[in-house]
Amino acid sequence: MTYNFESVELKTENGQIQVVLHMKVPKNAVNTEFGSEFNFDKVDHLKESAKEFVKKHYPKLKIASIAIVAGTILMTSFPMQKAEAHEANFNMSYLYFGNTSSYISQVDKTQGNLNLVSPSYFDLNTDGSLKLTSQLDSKFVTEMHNRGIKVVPFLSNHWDRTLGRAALANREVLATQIAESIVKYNLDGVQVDIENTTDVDRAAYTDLVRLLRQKLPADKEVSVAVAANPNGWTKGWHGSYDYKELAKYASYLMIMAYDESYEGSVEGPVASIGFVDRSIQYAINQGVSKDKIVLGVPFYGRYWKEGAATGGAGISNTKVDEMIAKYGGTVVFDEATKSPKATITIKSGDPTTTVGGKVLGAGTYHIWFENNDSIREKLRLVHKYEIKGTGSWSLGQENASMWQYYKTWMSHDGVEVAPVNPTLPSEQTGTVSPIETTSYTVKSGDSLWKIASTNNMSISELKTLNALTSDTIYVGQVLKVKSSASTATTSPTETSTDASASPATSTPTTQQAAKSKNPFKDISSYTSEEQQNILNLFEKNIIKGTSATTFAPSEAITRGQVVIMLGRYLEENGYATVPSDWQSNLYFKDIPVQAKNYELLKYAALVKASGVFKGKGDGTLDPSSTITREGMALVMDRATKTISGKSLVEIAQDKNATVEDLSSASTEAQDAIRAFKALGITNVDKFSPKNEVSRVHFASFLARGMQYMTPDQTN
Amino acid sequence: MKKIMTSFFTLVFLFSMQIPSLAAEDRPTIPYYGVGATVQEVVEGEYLVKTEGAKAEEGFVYTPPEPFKEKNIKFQITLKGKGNVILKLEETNARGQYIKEKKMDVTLTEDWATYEMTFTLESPTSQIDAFVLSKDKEPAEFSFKNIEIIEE
Repeated sequence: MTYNFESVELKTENGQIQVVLHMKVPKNAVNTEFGSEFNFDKVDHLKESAKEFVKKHYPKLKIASIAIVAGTILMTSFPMQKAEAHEANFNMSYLYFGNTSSYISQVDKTQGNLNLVSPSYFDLNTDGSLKLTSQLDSKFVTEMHNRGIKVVPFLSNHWDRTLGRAALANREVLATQIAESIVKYNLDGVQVDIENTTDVDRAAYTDLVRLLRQKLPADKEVSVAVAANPNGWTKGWHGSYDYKELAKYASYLMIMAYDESYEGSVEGPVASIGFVDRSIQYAINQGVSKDKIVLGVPFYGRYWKEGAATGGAGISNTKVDEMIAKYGGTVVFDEATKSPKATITIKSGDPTTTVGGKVLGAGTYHIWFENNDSIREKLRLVHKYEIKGTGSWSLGQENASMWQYYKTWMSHDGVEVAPVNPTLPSEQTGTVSPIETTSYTVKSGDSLWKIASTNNMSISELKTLNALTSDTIYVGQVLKVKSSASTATTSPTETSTDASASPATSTPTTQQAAKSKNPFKDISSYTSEEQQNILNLFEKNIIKGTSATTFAPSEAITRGQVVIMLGRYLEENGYATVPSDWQSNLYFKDIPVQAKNYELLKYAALVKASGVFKGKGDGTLDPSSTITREGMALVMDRATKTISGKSLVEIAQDKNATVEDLSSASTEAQDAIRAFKALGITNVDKFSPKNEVSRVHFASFLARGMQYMTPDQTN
Repeated sequence: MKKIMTSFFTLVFLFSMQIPSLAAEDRPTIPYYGVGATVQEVVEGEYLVKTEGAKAEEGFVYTPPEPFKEKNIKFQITLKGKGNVILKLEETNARGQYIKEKKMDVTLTEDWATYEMTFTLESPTSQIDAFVLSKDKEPAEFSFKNIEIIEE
């Protein structure tokens, strides 16, 4: 297969040249702007094509690395000379907190970085026999297989030493039960995670793994989660793992390189870089093949309260971020351990935070946790020692912004490319001020939207700040809203004319100053209004560009892209919800529930259920076809109806407008086009209904149309 | 005859119901695990340990299930048999890291005799393994009952 690279960027990073190749997305392919899939099988061919392309076009340049981007997705990045750096592409993660639905959601946030997940399906009875947990769900297994992800449950004794010993004593029966269950439920193997047994159990432990290897089909995995052993201890828990012998039977050993500090210990990092480094060295020195070593990375931290007798309870990285946003504080990166430490003070009367079921009282907390910097440092060791890859405990505790970099970190340790989804939430570092709030008392006629927009907040922000679980509010209810000090300043934006999408009055959208820096290098030749519209939609996470640095403004927008943009807008603002059966019900014939572009799958269901998109006569969506201008007018008309209760046509019913070529439009679209003109969404005399819509013009149309897409305040 | 057959089928039914219930997780589990040895309950509360003799220090291990409140503890056990065994307490911290151990040699007798060994934990959060192990590299048999870890 030959790949087409439609544009090339040359970048200099740390004095080395990197080539960024932008792939043309095939018309008949699911549009990758909105996808997050990563197909490892095709990567080798892709790399070879890329190398040939670069050698042909830049024969004299000394190029350090190549990055390949399709749409917004970083497909891969790798060194030009293979010998320059090690590349790892194995990542597994444990699933422990949640259920099938939340697990799927957590996996889908990883942007295709995972090859394997390990759910908590295998527990133990007191006699050491296998106990299948209530989490075991064939639907989840199928969903993961559809994504090309293996499902290897972990066998856990939950730190119960006696239970672990019961399992080892019963290992012959237990191994048979596990093998039968793996076949019965179409699982892909087992990871043995019996912890807290000791050196007296060492031989039996190895024998359990040997038995599992013997009883499981050859294509099923047996792996072992082993205690990190940076100090070479031979007794206690650490002595229960005979690394070398275990590796003879196991596909790999997953080193649990965390809990250096633990509940009850003195304050410190969960996994300092030295601790992790020495843990890998120990495995290698024991004679374990490097391609059988997987580095476990924590997605959590531990906290200690000043003045408390003890501390070190666990806290997820996401909770740390939430607390920093809520209370403010400082985050200092400790260079010695390569670990971040947050210091947060909760004052008396502050809103409470619950961690692990415990309400944190007033006081100052020291939290050692993990952020992108510390995880990146750990992943450098994967390359330093050329080991197989990473594991992580546990999925869902991480800051999701990490996944946009993960693939790059895993690809090599050299030059790195910009994140592919810069709009994902970023981390907080340095000194962070809490969101300043003030009180607002709900009045008759108020809605969440009205309160949120008045205070320059999104509805979801408002709900989160007030811990609202529904959209219902009551007159007299006191809500927290952002204080004016923390509200962005707004200023009117100049409007200007362009040939195709003519000027309109400035809208609520265009009046908001874009807070983010312009990431797109290819929009500077467009009018200030068009640029502002693009950046405002980008800021609102409605559009993401075709790469980290390009918007492709002149490209015709596809039906699939419109579905996703409108879907994001509708969902983010709470105007419509994604149907609960979006992963099981066929909303469009050509968007099967097995589709790997989950964002398209999700929003196709939303726009169909909400009546915004009806699809073609044959029941298809045809997402890769370009949308016509009349088609765009129709869906925006319906979207407005969904949000405000009135369509554009109904809003414009008393206004006159003339469109010269209206008769060339389909009968169904004529009223919507006339409304476009009457409401100033367009002011051209000829609408050209059958023409395509460029991405830049769609951004302008959408930005202008959004002034009518507000909930009806009379309801 | 019909009554006899009915009783027979009832017995068969009850018997068939008993087997899975015995095999399920409700079955009482002996919390003593062999270390190069088998542990068998010969009468209620009395256990027989037979070591393989492949090496010295074979026997059984017991881990008290409840966390400690105090640092000072006492290992108490009643034993009978022949030859010499070792009583051993091994402390690991809350994260399983080995801390220290203490051993005591015991010469067994043919009659039951109770033995005690005191121990000071580094921390009440620690875990303890209590062992009775053979002293020499040879097959051994001994019996035990009334094992206790007492907080003082």
